[in-house]
Amino acid sequence: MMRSSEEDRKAIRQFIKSHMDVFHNEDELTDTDHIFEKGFVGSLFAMQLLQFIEREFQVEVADEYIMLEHFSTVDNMMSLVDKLRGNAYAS
Amino acid sequence: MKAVKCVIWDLDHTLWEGTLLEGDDLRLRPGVEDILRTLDARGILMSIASRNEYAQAMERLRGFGIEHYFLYPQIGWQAKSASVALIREKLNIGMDTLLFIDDQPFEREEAQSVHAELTVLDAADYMLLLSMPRLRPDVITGDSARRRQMYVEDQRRQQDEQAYEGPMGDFLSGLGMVFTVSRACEADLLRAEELTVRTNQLNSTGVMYGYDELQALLDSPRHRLWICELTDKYGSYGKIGLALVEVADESWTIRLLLMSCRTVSRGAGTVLLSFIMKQARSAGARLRADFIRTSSNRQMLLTYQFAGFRELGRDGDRLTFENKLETIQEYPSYIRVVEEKPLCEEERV
Repeated sequence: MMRSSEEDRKAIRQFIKSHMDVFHNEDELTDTDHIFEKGFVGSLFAMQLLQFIEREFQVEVADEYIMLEHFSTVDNMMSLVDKLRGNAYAS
Repeated sequence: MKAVKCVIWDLDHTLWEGTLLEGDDLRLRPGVEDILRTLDARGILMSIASRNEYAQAMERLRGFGIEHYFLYPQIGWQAKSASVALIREKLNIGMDTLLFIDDQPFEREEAQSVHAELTVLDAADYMLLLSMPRLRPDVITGDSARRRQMYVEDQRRQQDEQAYEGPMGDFLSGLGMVFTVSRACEADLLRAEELTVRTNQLNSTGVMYGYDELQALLDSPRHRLWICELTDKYGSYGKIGLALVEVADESWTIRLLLMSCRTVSRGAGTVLLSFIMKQARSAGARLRADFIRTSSNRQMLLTYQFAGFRELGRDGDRLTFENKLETIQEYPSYIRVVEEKPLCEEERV
């Protein structure tokens, strides 16, 4: 059974919170918060985030999608996942 | 084939003759001590994957006076493939830079079946280790001779980091990290060459530069070669990053950017890229970069694209990026970035 969109968002929020200590509790991270403006994000965390998205949603992020704007907020990550899944169905 | 960065040893009938848990009278195989000492001096790391009882095996290694050679030894009852995976993760190096030596075909095949890129060697051939080309680096630098020591310092950092209770930002601030960027001079060239050969994951082009080429670039008024060192309260990570930038009036092009994988968790790659972007902006130049996509440099691609570099053109695998320099990520608060005029600067004038 497919997970609901809210569960997907929750999984992403949890991953970010466990890796970035500027977010201490639930209400400090909203789906529109720009996580890269909240604190310094090195490429290691960014890479972990990318791998998390691929693993969690079973998608492959092609090079041209590896851009900050797709990973800057929970909303944007969900749009990216939707887009990648859509592409997968179409092919 | 890439240079081997770490040799993983089995113990029974590989490193020593006899079986520990059968109470045999153990002896190191002839020449093993010399092999360990020589590989260590070449800057090749070593570890252990052995199915054995940990405390007893470590005691024997201490008895032979060789325990200090091995980083993250995996001695237990897990599959060898799992031990290899863990060592690779701890050292943060590519699977294709590991060599696993074991006397049992089953163990070698098991490890190989899980890790296709792993090199395996029959323990019967252990005397070949010192002469294998992949274990004979062309250059041995101060950093290579200190490499094991640097990993030991890393191990202490990691232990303290894991034991630290509190926000990670506070832990990082307490490290007193200083990132020094300087124009490379003659004395840095061996290490610079070594970095271009050894760095695969955080490498923007994968192009290797020889000593002579680097020396010519040093004297070229059209090029800037920057080298970086990272230190903290535990010691120095060594010279860990390199950037080659071609400077032509209004247009700068990053020909090569690379960063040792040991420092990536500190954000060093992003810091070096920000440094170059700031330099280009204050020179009023536009900034471009060469990028060659390889099978292992996805993280470098991410570093560039997250920093705002966009594809300008493409010729096969060869990309040209451009950055409008509109936003530059600030350095993290826990790293002090210092631009240093090297001592050799005066000699060159």
